Amino acid sequence: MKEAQIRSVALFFFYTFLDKSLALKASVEALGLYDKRLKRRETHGPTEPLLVYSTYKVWKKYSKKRNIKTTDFDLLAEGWIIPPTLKLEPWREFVKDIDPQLYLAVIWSQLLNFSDKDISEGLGVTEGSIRYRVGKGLKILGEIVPPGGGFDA
Amino acid sequence: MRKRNLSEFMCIEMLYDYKSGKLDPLRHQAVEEGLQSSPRVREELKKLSIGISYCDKLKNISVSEPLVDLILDQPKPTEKVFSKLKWNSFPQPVRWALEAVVVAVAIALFVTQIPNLFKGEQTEPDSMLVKKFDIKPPGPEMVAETEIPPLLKPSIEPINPERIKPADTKPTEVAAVATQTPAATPVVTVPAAKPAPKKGNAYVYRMTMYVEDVDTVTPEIAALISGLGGEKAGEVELGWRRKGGSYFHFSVPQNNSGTLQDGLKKYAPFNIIKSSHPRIMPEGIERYILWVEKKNIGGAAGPGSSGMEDSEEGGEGSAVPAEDSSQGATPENN
Repeated sequence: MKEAQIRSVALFFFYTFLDKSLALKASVEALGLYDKRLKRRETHGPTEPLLVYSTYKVWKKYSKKRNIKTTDFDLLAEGWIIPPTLKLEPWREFVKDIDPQLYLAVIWSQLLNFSDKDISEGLGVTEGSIRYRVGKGLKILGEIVPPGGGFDA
Repeated sequence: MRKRNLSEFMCIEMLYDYKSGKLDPLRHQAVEEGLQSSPRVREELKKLSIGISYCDKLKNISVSEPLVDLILDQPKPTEKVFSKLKWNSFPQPVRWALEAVVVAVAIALFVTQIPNLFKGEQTEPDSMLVKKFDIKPPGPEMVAETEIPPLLKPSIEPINPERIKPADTKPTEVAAVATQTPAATPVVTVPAAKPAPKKGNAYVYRMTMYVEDVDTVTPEIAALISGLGGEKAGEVELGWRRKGGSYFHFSVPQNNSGTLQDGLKKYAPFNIIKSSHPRIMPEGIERYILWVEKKNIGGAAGPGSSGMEDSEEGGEGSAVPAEDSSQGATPENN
């Protein structure tokens, strides 16, 4: 397992849950599922679709029980390094209110830089659907973000 | 190429592809024209740009090295389960309880199974147990066995060949069963306590008659009996003379019983007693024992004075073959 994949998975769950403990727990499980699927796979192709699939499966599982107790790990404060000037409130509101399929597509496409093809293969939908979800999600996010751009001056 | 004209809605829907540079030149030019002509399209593009710029800022969130190491060091779910099932992880009381259970089970298995191991192939008690409950309903041979008094069995062997009739086969079967019985399991004899329902006449008529001239009456009574289809039922002939009287042991057809008694009344009045007897007579045949005794004028003579019962039961007249012993193996003669 590459370190870049670990970082991508950890970031994905941090963006989705905004909960460090839950993000760590889900990351471990998603990477376990990714490893399992990777060993079963017969063809040698890009691993990003598999990563999308694994993160999506675990996200679905954990999104149904967001109130689970997540104090199993002694999470380091510096686990996720957040720029001090960055405001997370717009993103928190974005994740809270809109269709999950939209913000998941935005995360994979805009924040983790997965290609539309990899995302569509991982989710089993067309690339057009992914582009539509990303475009619509970005527009909604643009409405939420204040004129300052989400940065403190 | 022909120039494309896009509606405002189509321009808004293509803004993401326009912004990401994935539109072909014609559509790209058409979207640009829409942006110039429609303020709503420009507003949508502005929102999209803000969203993309915010995402660019969110990309600055990074994962620290310690977190990556922590994720890599996390045990797998199976490893977690095994680690929780480690013996040392259990509390001391739980370990003691488990040890006690294991020891108790081991002792129980030892006590219950070790004797069977030493027994080896001695599994017959189980099969005997099965046989014990395999009780057949009492058949005809069992009935015959129960009806034959054990004391009379030794007299089975000296069968007189003259008395065996060709059509009669049952006595042979009875004898065979009687000899095979010891070979069977002891449990088989248990149903003998339940006798089969008797068929025929299990009784005998005992008659006593006192006449003045026994010598004269005896052949006449014998002729009367023979004339009515009667046959001797014992080994002695009809009218066998004994001290003080004559002994008749015979069987007659049941429909001639009345005629016989009427015929006997001509000689003298007689007493008749119907008494039960273990020997079963065939249907329609009745057995009689008639004792004709000389009548004493002085009145000293009386019933049983010369011992009819003695001759019957083998007492004083034990020289006389008892009717039972003579026919124990050949009831068909009755």
